[in-house]
Amino acid sequence: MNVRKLQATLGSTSVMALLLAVALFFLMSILRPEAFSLTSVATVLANSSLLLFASTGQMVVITSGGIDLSTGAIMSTTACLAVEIMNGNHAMLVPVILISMAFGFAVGLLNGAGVAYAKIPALILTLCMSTVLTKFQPIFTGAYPRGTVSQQFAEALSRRYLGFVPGFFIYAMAFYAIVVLFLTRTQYGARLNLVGTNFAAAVLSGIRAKRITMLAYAFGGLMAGLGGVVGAGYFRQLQIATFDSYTMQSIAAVVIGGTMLSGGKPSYFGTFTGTVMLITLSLFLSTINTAVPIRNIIMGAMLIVLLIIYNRRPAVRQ
Amino acid sequence: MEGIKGSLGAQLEGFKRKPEFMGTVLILAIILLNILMQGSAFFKPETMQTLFATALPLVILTMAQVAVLISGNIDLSTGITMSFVNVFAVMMPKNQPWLPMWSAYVIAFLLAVLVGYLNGVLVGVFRIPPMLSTYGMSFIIRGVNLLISDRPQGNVPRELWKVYQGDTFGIPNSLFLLVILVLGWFYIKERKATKEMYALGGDEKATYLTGISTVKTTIRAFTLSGVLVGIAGLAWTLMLASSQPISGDVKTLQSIAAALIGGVLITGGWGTMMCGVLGAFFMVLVNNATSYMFTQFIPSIIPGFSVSTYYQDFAGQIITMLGIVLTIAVSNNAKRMVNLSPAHGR
Repeated sequence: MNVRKLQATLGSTSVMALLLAVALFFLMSILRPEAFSLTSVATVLANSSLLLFASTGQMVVITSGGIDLSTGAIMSTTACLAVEIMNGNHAMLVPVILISMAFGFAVGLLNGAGVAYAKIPALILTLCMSTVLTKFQPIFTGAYPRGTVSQQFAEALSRRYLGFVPGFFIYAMAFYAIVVLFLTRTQYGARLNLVGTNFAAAVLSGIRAKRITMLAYAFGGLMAGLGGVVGAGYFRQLQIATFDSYTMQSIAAVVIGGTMLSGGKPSYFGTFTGTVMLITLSLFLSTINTAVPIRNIIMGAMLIVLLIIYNRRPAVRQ
Repeated sequence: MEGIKGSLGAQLEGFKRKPEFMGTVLILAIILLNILMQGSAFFKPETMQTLFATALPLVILTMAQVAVLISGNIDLSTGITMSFVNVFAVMMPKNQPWLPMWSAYVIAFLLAVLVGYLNGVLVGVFRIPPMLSTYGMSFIIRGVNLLISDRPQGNVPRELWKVYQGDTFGIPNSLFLLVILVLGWFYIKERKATKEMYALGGDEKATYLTGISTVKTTIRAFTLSGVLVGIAGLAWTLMLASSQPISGDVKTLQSIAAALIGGVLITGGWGTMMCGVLGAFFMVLVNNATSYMFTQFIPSIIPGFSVSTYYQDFAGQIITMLGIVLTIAVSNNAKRMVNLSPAHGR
């Protein structure tokens, strides 16, 4: 029970994740003094921004009590779409964003319909969807994506304000604020929360719970679709399945932030801090120049330790 | 005549409620498709031999996944652990000359069992969601693999892999290994420990209330999975005849898909090892059929037909997905019927 006491004294999980991120940053600065710079901060913020798009969508789906393993694949696919359609033409930016969001929404709607109405486990359906999307990318790009996003779009994302705030971060924050307002202020958000917390109670109170669940996947897909476009703008060079690793990272970020995988009660601040924490950790590992194998081991061990401290399931006897 | 017909009908009706039903139907369909396209060439000993030798690691890995799925958990670290066995067994005797080769194989196997046990402890004792704890574990193992060997290299003595890839009286040797494993499953299937695993997957709370230790049962399920992963790793080593540090990782998701196609329910408590075997062979045969269809069958009907392999992959993936969705619908239905029927048996 010592862990419980410690947890109570250190406050909420979300604050803890932020403190951990700051601590990691300073530890990194001690080990590598040259890494203590505004550039490092900017790198953390920019990388966090991209992951935040993925984790926001993931958070919506996890709130509904499900999980979305196709987040990364949707991002990769819309990123390929973006560079293929845009091909350097800035006038195409708005259409591309709309197409990508619509594509993500459609894929998510398919996922949601399968999970809510056909009762296929979310884990499986979204996993299958993810592999289908991965096999789909080389078909329409022809082996590998050749196009690029427009110069202006890429610059808008990488421009630095005050020396350390990337433009990307500002857009990500605006996006995140809109999503949080949507989830906290609208009827849909409140209903989603209830559906995730207790599906049966939601049905009994007259909520069309299946439709709410289905839409959660669709919104998650939409956000991932948008994430793919900005990801393409941020990365510039793309391959097939560029963002596939963001699936598990987004789940880890949401969970480290304090949202339970069992559904309901999302931690909005936590998703943000969990994302920053995960990105700081990977920057920390690459800055202190550890070899790739060691980096993998530390990453895995940290994930397990964080989960042991913060996200244990209630015991069966409780 | 009437009686025989009646009992056959009853048996068929009973079989429809078995977890293996859909897997059997699908595998018969895909074998039929292969025979229709390839004719008797499909049954040539060389074809069979290659098919079994290359499919076996995935089949055993799927059995490992089934052990965990039955108990209501999931393991995302099986594929990379299979690679770990491969890398350890091949590279350790090279890096440490004092270590005899046979002992490297034994230690690699035991370490795979240990990884399974640790996964069980993380999920059972520490109560971390299995998907995330085994995902973390897969990172650690990946790092260890890369520490031992950062690129594909090394080789396995010719005598060893020749035995695995050879055949006896026209029957592939790898098939014997599979038969032994399946017989082993039939031995442990009816034991109390295995039934407890089913109970845990079916209803955790009820299992706890009947006095079964859910923690021990979880650890047992993961350890059983570790044993099978170890065997899969040895088969993988003999199939590759070299060491590849991370190539087994993609097999994890394939094995989960295979288990579900075979009729295992991810919600737990439903399915057998046979489901896993059927599902894994289905996956392999789908690849076999789609590649034959696109490279030889359609061109033989429509001269000049040629598409890139991407379409082939895509088609195979769509078939797999449809297979999974169909099986889950049927399995859900079968489970409900079994739970409703008064003679409640598995």
